[in-house]
Amino acid sequence: MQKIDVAVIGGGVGSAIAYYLALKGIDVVLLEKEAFLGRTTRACAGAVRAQFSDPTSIMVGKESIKILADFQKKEDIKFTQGGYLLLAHSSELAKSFKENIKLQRSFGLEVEEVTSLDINKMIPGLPASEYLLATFCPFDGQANPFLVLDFYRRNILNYGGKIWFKSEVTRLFRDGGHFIIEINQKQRIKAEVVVNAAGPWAREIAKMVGIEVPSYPERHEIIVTERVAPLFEPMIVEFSDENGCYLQQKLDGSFVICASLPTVPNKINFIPSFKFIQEIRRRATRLVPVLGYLTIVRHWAGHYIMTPDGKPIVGATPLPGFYLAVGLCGHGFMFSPMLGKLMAELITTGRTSLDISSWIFKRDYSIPEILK
Amino acid sequence: MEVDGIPNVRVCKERVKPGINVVRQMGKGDLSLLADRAKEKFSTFSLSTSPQEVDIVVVGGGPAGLSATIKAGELGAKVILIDNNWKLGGQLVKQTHKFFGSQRHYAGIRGVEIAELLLKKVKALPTVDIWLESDVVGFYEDRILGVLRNRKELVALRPQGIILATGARENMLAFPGNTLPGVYGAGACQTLMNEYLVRPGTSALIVGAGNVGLILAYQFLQAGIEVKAIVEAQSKVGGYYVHLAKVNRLGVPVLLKTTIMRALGKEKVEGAVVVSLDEEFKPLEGSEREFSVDLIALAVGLTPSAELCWQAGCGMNYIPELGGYVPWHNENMETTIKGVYVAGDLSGIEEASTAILEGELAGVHCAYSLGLGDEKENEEKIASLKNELALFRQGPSSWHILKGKAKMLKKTLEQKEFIYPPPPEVKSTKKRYILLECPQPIPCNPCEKVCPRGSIKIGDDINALPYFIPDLCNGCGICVSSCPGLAIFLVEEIDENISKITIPWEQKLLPEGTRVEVLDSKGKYLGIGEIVKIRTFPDRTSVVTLKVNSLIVKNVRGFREKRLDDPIICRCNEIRKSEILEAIRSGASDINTLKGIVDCCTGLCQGKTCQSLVLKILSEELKCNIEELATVTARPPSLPFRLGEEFRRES
Repeated sequence: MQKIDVAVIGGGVGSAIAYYLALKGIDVVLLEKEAFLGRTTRACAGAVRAQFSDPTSIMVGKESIKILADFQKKEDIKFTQGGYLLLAHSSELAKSFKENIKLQRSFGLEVEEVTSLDINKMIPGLPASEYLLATFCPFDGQANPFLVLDFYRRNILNYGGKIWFKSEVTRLFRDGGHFIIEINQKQRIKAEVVVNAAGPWAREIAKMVGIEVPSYPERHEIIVTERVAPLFEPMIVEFSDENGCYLQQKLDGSFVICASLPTVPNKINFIPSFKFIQEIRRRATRLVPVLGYLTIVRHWAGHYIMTPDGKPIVGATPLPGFYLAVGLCGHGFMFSPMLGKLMAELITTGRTSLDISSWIFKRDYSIPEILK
Repeated sequence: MEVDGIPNVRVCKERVKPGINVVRQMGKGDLSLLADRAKEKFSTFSLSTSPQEVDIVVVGGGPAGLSATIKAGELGAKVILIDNNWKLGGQLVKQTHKFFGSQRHYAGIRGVEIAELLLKKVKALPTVDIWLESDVVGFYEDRILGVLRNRKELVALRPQGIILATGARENMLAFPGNTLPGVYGAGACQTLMNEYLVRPGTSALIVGAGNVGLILAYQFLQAGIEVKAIVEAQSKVGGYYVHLAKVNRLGVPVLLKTTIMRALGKEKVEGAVVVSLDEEFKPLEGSEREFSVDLIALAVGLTPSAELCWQAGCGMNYIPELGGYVPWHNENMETTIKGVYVAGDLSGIEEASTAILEGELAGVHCAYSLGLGDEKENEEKIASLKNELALFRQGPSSWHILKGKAKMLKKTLEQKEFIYPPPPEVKSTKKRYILLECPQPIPCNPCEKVCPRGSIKIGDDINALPYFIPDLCNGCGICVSSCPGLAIFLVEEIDENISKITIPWEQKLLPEGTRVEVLDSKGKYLGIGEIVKIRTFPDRTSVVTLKVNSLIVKNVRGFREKRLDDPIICRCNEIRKSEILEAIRSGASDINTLKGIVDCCTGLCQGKTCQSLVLKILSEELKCNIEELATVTARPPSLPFRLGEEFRRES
C-alpha cells in the first residue's frame, strides 16, 4: 500500500494547503474527486477583502491579499485592488459598521466612511441616499479563481507534490498510527496526516472518522454578464434581505453579480433557480441601473459552506493527525492563500505564525459574525 | 454593433425600425453614456411571481415542434408553443426546394409551403397558445422553464410535459480570415436570400458538399449568385445524388478532397484559397488554388442545440452519427427525465420529414401520458408513427441514424446489406418515354404516386429505386414537374435529325422560340436547341420542352443563352474563350495545364487550329511573351489515324 505523509482531501482551499506543504518539501497528495481543482472555489465570485467584523477574518483576509499581490508579481492572476464598498441600509447595521471601522483600522486597514456624494462619483446611478452609511476599503479587490487554482496546481507539481484527480475518498479510518484512505471504492493508501478541506462534502468525510462537523452547504447563485468598458472598480455589497446583492466588474470587463437568497433545505444543489434570475435583475439594476443594458451570459450555482456562528472551522481536531479547513462561509477563495500557509505551519511545526485559535473546531458556536 | 447607443447588440436578431441607429462598435461598449437613460428604464421589474402552470410546453416551432404541437393540441392538451423567431416554421421557411420523402408527409412540397400547411393546422387548435419572439432562457430548478416573452417580460412556466424541439446550429470551421464579413453559415445565406430577398454576395465558394451545401449552391444560382466551386474534404459527395446532379448540370464544379485554407481580404472577403488534402486530410503542398469570390458559405454540418437538455439534467450521449451530443431518448422520444421529450434535429441531425414524424410521436405520447385521448386510439397512432419512421429509415441514407440510435440505446444493430439492383433496361419501341436519373436509394416516392398510369414503380420500401415501365406510359410528363430531385426527363424522338426533350427548370427562363445553347449533365455545351414550349405549374417548377438534334437529345439537362460574344477557340471540343480565361484566372499558366483543365487542344486536330490561339490568350492574360510560356508538348501521332487503318487496307 502506498504511503504518504499528508493527504489533503479537496482541491479548493486544499490546493493552497497542498501548495504550501509541497513548498516545505512535504510528501503531500491532493485528492480531488473531479477532473479539475476546486468545484466550489470555481463557482465563487473571485472577490477578496479584509473588511470583516471578526479579528481573525480581518487578519487572514489581509494577509491573503498580500500573498495574492505577491503571486501577481510572479504571474498574471488578474489580481487588482479596486476596493469594497459596503452599504448599510439600517441603523443597526450602520452602528456595527462604525464599530467595525475602528476594529479594522486597528489592524492597519485604511477603511473610510463615504458620503452619498462620493458614492455617486464612484458608482453612477446608485441610490446612495437610501443608505445610512457606507464604508470603503481600497485594500480589498479581486483575483481570478481559475488562474489562482492553476497557479497552485502547477506549483504543487513543481515542488514535488502529487495531485490525484477523479479520486473520491470513499472510506477513511484510523489504523494504528496512521490513516487508511480508500479511493473510488478501490485503491487504498496510508497517510500520516489527513486534512479535510472537502467543502460541501467535508461533513461526510469527517463523519467517516467519527467527527461531527456542524457545517452545511448553502446554495448561492451567480450571473456573469458580457464584457464592457471599465465602469467602476469596487465590489459593491448591499446586505439587506429585500435588496441584498453584491457585484463587481472583472478585469475582463464582465460583471459578476450575486445575491444571497434563502434556500431551503440546505443541501448540495448545483441547479440554478429561475427565481434568482427574476430577483437579481431587480436587485442589480436597483443598485446600478445601467447594468440593465447588459446581457447575461452565464448563470450558475455554488455553495457557501456555513457554520452556526458564521466563522470557519480550521485547525486540529481531537483526533491526532486529522485536520480541518472547512465551513469557510463563502470566503474560502479569499482566505485560502493565508490559510494554506498557516495549515502548512500547523502540520509541520504544531504552531501558526498568526493566531487562528478562535476558529478551532472545539468552540462555542453561538456568537455570530456580522459581516458574513 | 451598437444600436441606438446600446452596445453589444446582435444585429442579425434585431428588428429594423424607422430611425434605428446602427453603428459599428469599436472596442468594448461604454455603459457610462447610458447611465441617465437606465434609471427610468429599469425601474419597473416586478417582484417574482409564481410560475404559470400549463399542460405542455413545446420549445421550437420548426417541423418537429409544430408537429408535436398539432398532435398534442388535437388531443386537447393546453399547449404553449414557444419560438424565438418572429414567425413559426424554423428552418422550413427558408427552404425553397421541394422535399423528398413520402407523399403522405409533404414530399414534393417546398419547405416554405410545408411550414404554411403546419401553421394552418396549429392555428386551428383552440388550446394552443403561440409565443413568438420569446426565448426559453433556461431549464431551472423545479422543472421551471424561464421564458423571456416577447423579448420583454421574464416569466416562469411549469409545464407537466415538455417537448424540446430546439433544432440544431451550424458548425463553424477554423481558418484564417473566418470572421471577415462575407464568411457566412449556409443557413444565414438562406435566410438573407430566401426570406429577405437579399443577395449575400455576387460570387461564392461553398465549403461542404452535403445536402445543405448542394441545395445552397442551387439556391445561389437561382438568386443570380455565381458559384465558383463547392469544396469537400471527403473523397465523395455526402449529399444526395439528385442534389449533386442539379448543380452539376448548371456547371458548378465539386472539388473533392479539398478544403478552404484561408479567406482573403482586409475589410471583407475578396477571395478564398483552397487546398487539396491527402489521405490523412493534410494539405498537399503546392496544391493551393485561389478563387476570386466575395462570399464564402460554410455548409459543414450541424450540431444539435442541446443546451436545455443539459440544463434539465437529461442523460446525454456523444454520438457522431447523430451530430454530437444528443439527449438519450427512448423510442417514444422521451428523455431520461420523465415527461421531457425531444424531437427533430435535437435528437439527431436528420431531415424535416423525420422531424415531423418524431414531433408527432412526441406530441401524442406526451399528451397521452397526461391522460388525454382514447387509450386504444393513442396506442394505434403511436404504433403507426413508429412504423412510418422505421419505413422511412430502412434505406442506406438513414443507416447512420439507425446506427447512432442503436449506439445510444446500447442495442446491437445487425449489419444490413442494402441491395437495390438497378432496374433492368426494358426494351421498348416507344418514341415517347422518360429518363429516370435516380440511381441512389433515398426515401422518396412522389413519382410513383403522381403517375396516373402506374408506369413508375417503387413499392413498399420508399427507399427503393424507381422503375419505369414504358408500355404503361402515355408520355403526359406530369412526373417531370413532380420529382423533387428534378431527375426525370421526357424524351420524344421525332426523326433521326430532330427530337424533343422536356426538362424541369427552376432557373431563369427564356421566351418560347428562343434559340439556346443546350448543356449536358456537367453543364457543358452540347449544341444548339430551341425552346418550343414552357409550362409553369402551381408549384413553381417550370417544364421546358427543347427541340434539339436527335444525336444529343438524351444528354440534354439544361440550357443557357447563346453566347454570341464568346468565340469558340477549340473547335474539336467546342471550348470557348471564356472557359479558357476562367482557367487562367484560377491559376493555370501554361498550355499543358489548360489542356488538362479545360480540355482544349486535345481534339481530333490535336491543337493545330487552336494551339496558337490559346498561346496568344495566355500571353495576353499573363502579360508575357509567348516564348516565355512553358513549351508545348507535341505527342504522336502527328496526324490522327484509325487503329484499324492498316488492316482495312489489306483486306
